[in-house]
Amino acid sequence: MTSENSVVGDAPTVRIATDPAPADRYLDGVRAALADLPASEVAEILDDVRAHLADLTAELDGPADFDTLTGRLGSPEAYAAELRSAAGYPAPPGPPEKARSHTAAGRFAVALLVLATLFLLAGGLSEVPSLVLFGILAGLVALPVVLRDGPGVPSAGGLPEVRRFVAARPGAESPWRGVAGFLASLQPGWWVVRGVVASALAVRIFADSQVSVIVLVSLLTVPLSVWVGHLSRRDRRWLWGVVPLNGLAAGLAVAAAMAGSVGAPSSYASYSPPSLTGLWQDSDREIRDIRPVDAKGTPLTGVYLFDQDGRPVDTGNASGCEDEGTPASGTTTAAAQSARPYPRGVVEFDDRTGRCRSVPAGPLVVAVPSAAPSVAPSAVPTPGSSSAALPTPAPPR
Amino acid sequence: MCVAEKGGGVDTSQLLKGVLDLAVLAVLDRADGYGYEVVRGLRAAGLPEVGDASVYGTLRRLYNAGLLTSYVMPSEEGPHRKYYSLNGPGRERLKESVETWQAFARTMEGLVKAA
Repeated sequence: MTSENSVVGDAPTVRIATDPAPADRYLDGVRAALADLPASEVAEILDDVRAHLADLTAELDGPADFDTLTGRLGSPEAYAAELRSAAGYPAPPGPPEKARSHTAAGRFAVALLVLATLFLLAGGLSEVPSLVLFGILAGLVALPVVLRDGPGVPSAGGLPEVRRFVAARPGAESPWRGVAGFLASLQPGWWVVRGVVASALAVRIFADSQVSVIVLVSLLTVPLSVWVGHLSRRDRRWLWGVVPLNGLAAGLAVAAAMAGSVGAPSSYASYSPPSLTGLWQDSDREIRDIRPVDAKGTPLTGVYLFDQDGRPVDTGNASGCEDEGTPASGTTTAAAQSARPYPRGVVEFDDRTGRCRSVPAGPLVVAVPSAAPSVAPSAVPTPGSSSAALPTPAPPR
Repeated sequence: MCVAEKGGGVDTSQLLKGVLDLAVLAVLDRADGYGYEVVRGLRAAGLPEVGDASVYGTLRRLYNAGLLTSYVMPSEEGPHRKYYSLNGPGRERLKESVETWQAFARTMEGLVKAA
């Protein structure tokens, strides 16, 4: 297909005069005159105009040449101008000569905006605030340069690189048109997603991340995002600012989706400690019994342990056996528990009897620093033997 | 208010500009239609001055404002046709516009009679 949409008002130079040519030529003229509008919007308009021209041609009931069409509808440029004003699109960009002097600055600004988009995308993905900050700064520097010469952004929109990029979208007959159309149909969904992401980001900056707050703020940000989406569909200037921010939103959305699929975020760990009972090492290893040995590795029995304030260190029991059933000895009530010396053995739930039973401390291999590992002989504690004699150590104060 | 200048009379196409939205919404309220059907509907209703491109542009603006929905129907001859149809907000807007128009028309009527 022809792709001369960058040349405003120029009819195609080489064309084989086939039957549907006048309508195509007219359509190309309209397309060229609307080339500054968003591609998706132009495609929608041209769908309408194509059907319109077909209807007119059928109505004319004779050979419809280009002059007949212009006689009926006015020139393609006039048609486009009338449509533009009725649809409320921004005015077309000025003559390209004016833009020429700004080419270098425009190119620099466009490059900065592309860079800003990449930085924001990377910053969102890796959740590194300095990358995001740099991206925002680059965007803020570039935007005034891009937008300074008013509607239509001639200095940036007129750059050959930008024109080539815009013209690179798939033509009407290309199989990619279907893919592009499908992606375009997903756009409103994306507007909602980025609205939620913006809300999550704002909530995270100003408050604790709570789903309910995010939902509440989303009620504001999602309509805003959809509004901006509609705005940028009609007025392409918005895209210069919207695309870099889209990069940030996409990065954050992907990062959030990955964190969600890998597993619970690490902050969950901080919620669990309050629910732990008993004695725990680094909140992931329960200490159920203490096995003291002396410097030579000889096991000690009848040892009492106290914390820095002189309170007894109690291993407690997280197996839920304290309330239910009583061990065979019957001496370890909750009060007496703290009075027992180490090693105490452990109390376990017995599947067979359905009751709790006391398991005495078994043989253990320990590595004493600067001493060879030694096998501790079966240190059978003597529960009950010292339960009556409460320890009376002096607190180390 | 709009003042007809340079001694010219009131131009229907000038008047039409202000109420084209209402006219297009009213046509689509009767039945869904593709662009050219709306153009023909307006002409048949007695508005020959309406420009084709204005109608197409108005349809796009109303659609982008969320007052219309569109769907594509294949046609036997020529390319497929995009039909436009009023949705909830569109009907709401039509109701408001009709009220505004009727109030305006009554005012003008009274003014013109007095003259």
